[in-house]
Amino acid sequence: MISRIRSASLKSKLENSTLSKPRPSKEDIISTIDGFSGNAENGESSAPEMTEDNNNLTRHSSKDSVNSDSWEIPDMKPIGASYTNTYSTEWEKLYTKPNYRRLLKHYAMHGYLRSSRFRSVSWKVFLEVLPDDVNLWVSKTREWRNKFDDLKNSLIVNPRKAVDHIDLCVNNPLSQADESPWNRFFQDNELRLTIKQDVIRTFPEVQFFQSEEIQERMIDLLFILCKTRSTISYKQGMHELLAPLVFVLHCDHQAFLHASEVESLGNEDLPVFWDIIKEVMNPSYLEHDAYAMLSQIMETVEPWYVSKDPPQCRGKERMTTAPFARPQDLNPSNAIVSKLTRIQDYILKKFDVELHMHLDRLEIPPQIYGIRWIRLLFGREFPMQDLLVLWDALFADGIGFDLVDFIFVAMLLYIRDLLLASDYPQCLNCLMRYPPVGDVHYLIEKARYLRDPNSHPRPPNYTYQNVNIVKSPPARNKRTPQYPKQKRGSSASLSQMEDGYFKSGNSTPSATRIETSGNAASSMARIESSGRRSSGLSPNSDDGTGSMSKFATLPSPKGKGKKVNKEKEYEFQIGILQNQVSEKESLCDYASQKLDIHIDRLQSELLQQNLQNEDEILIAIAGIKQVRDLLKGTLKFSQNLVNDDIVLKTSQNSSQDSSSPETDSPVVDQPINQKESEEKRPKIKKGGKMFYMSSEENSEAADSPTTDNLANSRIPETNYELNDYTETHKYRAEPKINKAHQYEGTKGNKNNTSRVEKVQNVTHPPVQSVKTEKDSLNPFDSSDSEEDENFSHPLVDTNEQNMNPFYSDSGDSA
Amino acid sequence: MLVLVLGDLHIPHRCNSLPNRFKKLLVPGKIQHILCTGNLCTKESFDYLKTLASDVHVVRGDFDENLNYPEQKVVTVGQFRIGLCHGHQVVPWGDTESLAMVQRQLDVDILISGHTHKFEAFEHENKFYINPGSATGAYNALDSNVISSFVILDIQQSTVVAYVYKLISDDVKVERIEYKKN
Repeated sequence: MISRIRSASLKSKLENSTLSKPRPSKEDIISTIDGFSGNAENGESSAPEMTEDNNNLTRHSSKDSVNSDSWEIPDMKPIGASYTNTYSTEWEKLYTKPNYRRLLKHYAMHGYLRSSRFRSVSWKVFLEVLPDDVNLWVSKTREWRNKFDDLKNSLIVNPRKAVDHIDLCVNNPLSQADESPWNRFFQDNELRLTIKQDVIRTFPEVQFFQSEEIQERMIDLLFILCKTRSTISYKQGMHELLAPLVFVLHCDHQAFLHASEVESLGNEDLPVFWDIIKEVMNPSYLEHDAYAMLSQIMETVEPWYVSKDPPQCRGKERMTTAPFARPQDLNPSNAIVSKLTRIQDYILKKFDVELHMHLDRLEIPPQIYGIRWIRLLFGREFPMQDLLVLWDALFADGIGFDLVDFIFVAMLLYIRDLLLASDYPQCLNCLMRYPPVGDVHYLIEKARYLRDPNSHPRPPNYTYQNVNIVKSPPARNKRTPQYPKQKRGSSASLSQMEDGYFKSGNSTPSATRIETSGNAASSMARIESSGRRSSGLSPNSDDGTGSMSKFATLPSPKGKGKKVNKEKEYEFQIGILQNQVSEKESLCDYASQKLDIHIDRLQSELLQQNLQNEDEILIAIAGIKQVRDLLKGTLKFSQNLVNDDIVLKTSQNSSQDSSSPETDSPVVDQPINQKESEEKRPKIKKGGKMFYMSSEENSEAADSPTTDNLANSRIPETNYELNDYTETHKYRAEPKINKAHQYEGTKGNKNNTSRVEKVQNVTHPPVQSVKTEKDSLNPFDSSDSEEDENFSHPLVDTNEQNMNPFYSDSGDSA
Repeated sequence: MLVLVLGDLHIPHRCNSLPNRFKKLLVPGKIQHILCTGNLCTKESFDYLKTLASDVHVVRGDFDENLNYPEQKVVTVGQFRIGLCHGHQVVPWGDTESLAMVQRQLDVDILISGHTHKFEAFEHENKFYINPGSATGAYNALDSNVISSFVILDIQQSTVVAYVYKLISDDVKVERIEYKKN
């Protein structure tokens, strides 16, 4: 109950937001495009316009001709959103333009009919219940209504009324003769009972459908429909198609009643089309109009309802079916199943192989969830208001409902991350109970893009974000440490997938878009976590991409986080924090592993060579080992360690005073590690952030988590690559390092000093320290990003930066 | 709403079963209520009626095995109060004035009685009296030539239409009588 209320309030909020939401960019583009085409058409149709003056259209056409250049632009505003719009002006806007159909389609496609008071009329136009010519509407409407009345009279039998003219032997309640009205009555009653069972359960959350009268009308209507379409009779689901139609008609009728009261009072000279409105909107013909629309819908949808049960196969017969055949292949005669199979095997596969494979592997055939989606035209997957917007687009697209297939795929793509991250039961649960969609209009845009990528702008890649997944127990995260990353990675890989898989260029349009929003998003994340978040050097940059993609996936101006009530918000934040913590943990594990490996290498190398200041290096290694232990968690981090370092510094500072500024650059390696080890310290935050920003600047592809994903999923391999790389890199870096080493050689004990220096920096995080750090790293960094794609990833990148000096050191000493 | 009215089956003492023609007509799903004037005699007959409709009302006849059936019963269907009584207690049997006394006693719109094994339906002082006869055509104490008959009442608001089914020489004849509550 509470959740329902919550969802309702959420829905209304969303509605408001979508209404008031400014959409400058898209609107501008579309309006200009339409302006062009409108101009062209206007130019052509100027002559007919003049002739239409005679057809009582004088006023509007003259108005059109006045601002013919920009006549569409004022119409781009959502209709009915402003209350200055009177009832008849809305009609005027919608249906009196010479090519109103095209305009209407545009409105429907962009969700501007959301608050229209003539949605039912628009639907009738789309469904070809009403002809193009507005002047024929009255006659056509009457035609439909008469047809329905005739059907109703002939099909709904009342045996008590047909008493007189039939023989009593036939016309009695117990008669079983076929021609007996009583017999027909009883047979019909069975069908009506089946229909009733469904109708009384239609949209239980909408009060409108609970009224006896509406239910009775719906039963009658469905009954007549079934009688006229004897091939399929009644199938569960038709009532769900009818319900929104009835709802829309009812709403429009109410609006009409209200308007007719207001407007007829206000001015005596009603517009010329008022008669048409009056006829079309007559509230007493609710079922008639609903029938007309539903029967038109059924023309297309009917094949989807035909289901032939597969022949009962047992024993021998079963053996003859093809081995390894999937259940959806066994029964190809079924229209709905073949349609679904086509959607999944061709359309989905084309756009998202990963998801297709995943569903295939889990053996989730599309008919498990898809039959309902398609038969009801997604009626059960969205709340009513969203559904109506979706139907606007569906109907506007054409009576063939081609868009259904692509909306289907768009819906799957929307929850792809969720699906990819879950197992069979979770997947099924998610598909059977489609998660709430923030903006249903996104699905429409996406579907249109999928169908025709050339003529429609590519919508940003939103995916559903599930907090529950993130909330999974930490033990599970440990077992699969790359789990959250995989999630991130895949969301971004979607954009890449559509851009033709992994393009080598590091600035795809989507990447740049994410990047630009990334700064704001990450700072937002920072505010939200309010300092509780631990941040370090490399983890921070890594985390930045994490939060980036996380927030980029939400529709930014109307993000869910703002709309949900407090409880949900907290849950969401907890989820984010937990995600970050687990990311940190996995990062620490990774870093310590790498440190371990490289320390081993260093040591083995050192043992073979005799160096003059071997002690120094060994001490350094010991320090690094300490850091590694800290990262691993075997050594507990405490304030004592910091104090030790400070004591160390003060003791050495006196002797090292003069040399300290220069030591900064050559031995950068240690401070970085140090910093990494002290991730958990909040004080470091500012510096860390700074570094994150710079690292983003440095490595352009820092926001491509796919590589991140790759790097994580095969750690040993990257290790190998890293080693390889450093081998080659050694020689290139040698000269610079040589210089650095000269300093080192002259200034005895500075390893420790510099580290202590760093600690100082850390405690009062100044911007300069980060800058110097960055500067010192730059030479390596720039060459890095050019060298190997792997290093475009922040995590690998920073690690490499950390590691490099070691190798160059050892190489140098060699 | 359809109400089946029947009685005086006398199975198995005087007849073995309902006529086949009647059995074919009586199918489940059409009838909402059954009012039985008694003399079903055995539990089996009652069970059969139960298969036709779930709501079965029986009063006790002079040959009923089950002594727990009430002597008289009043059932309200729609706007009508319907009184049910076997009729062997009402002397002289089937007499209009005597039945009218029972009707006044029960304060009903329609009084259904049996025992005479002879179909009768008439209006008396604005009340409706129905005797469905014997559904099996079982013989009577006074008459061995009995026509099998039963009645279906179609009750709509303030109107009752009685359909009378009679088996005459192996042929079902249907009559229709309408009664309006004023």
